[in-house]
Amino acid sequence: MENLDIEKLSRETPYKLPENTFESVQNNVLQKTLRKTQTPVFNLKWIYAAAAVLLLIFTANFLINTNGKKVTTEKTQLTAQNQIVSQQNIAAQAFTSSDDAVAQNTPDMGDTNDSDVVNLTSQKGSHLNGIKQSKGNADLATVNKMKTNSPTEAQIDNVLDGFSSSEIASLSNNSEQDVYLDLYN
Amino acid sequence: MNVTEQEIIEWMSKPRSQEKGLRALMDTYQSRLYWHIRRLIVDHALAQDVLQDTFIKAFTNFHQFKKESKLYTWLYRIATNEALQQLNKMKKMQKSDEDAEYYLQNLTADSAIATGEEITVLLQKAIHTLPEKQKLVFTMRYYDEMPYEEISQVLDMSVGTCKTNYHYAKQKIEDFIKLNSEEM
Repeated sequence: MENLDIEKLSRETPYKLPENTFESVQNNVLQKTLRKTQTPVFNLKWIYAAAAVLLLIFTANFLINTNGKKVTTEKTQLTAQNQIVSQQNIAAQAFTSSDDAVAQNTPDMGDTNDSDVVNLTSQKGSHLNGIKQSKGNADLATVNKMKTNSPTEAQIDNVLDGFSSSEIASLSNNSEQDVYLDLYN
Repeated sequence: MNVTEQEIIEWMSKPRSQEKGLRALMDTYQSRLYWHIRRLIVDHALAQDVLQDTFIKAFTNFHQFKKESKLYTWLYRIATNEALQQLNKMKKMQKSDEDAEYYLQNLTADSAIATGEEITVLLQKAIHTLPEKQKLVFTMRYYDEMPYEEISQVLDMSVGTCKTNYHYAKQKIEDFIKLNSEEM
């Protein structure tokens, strides 16, 4: 043993390798790796979870959008009603101011004759017809407003100016007396 | 059928051919890896478990494999780490490092086949007296005939350190054999 050189020894390992060692290793490895990754239950769970989340999102989105639309339509209806009321108020104010003007003119006239009074009365009547007409036109204008986004008062006046007194009278005959306007009569 | 390392890497990289790749990988390297582990752990059942864990880890962490190094050295690295973990568990079960050493030597004597030469059994016993790094370098160089460059990649140490470790390990083993064969 004095000149021992392990490089010259046979390099065998003195252990026995039991049979089917590698077969069982391979089977165990394949079971724990590939079959584990291909398990459908695992994948299905994820699919179900993803589907449930998507369904929730779509349902919530749908409900929010539907409620939003309802609110906006209600708002537009309310706005239209408000516009109608404001138009009627304008018309009523115009009517009262014309009455005042008649009342102011009367004392100045002093010795006016009956025909003048008749003229004034007819003027008032035509004015009333005109107011009625303006009310009818205001309704029309409001509808137009709803269709074409907020026309101004000046535009409405322009439309009214375009009508002759006879046209206004005929329109007022065809239209019904408004409940709100009755309050001012 | 001889399969190249490149083919195994390509198969393992694609999900469709992963099984084929894993089978080829095990067929190609199982024997070398088993003996590497067995020389360190000695016990067959434990070596089998460690080999199994090595392949599972290689499969699950294959995306981490950098194609700059060889697949063979990467697998050796995993196998070595797994074997060292197992050795640490065995050492914890013993009272001291000497006890663990003694336990492994007895296990070697028990596991050695009857027809095995006495000197090869002594050599195995001597290996278990070595410090961890020397033991690893020696078994890889002596039994697997790995180049120092590859050993340095597996163990993350310089080629020079590997050579020094091998030199000291060889000297210690020869001394051990001389001493123990005289006693016998």
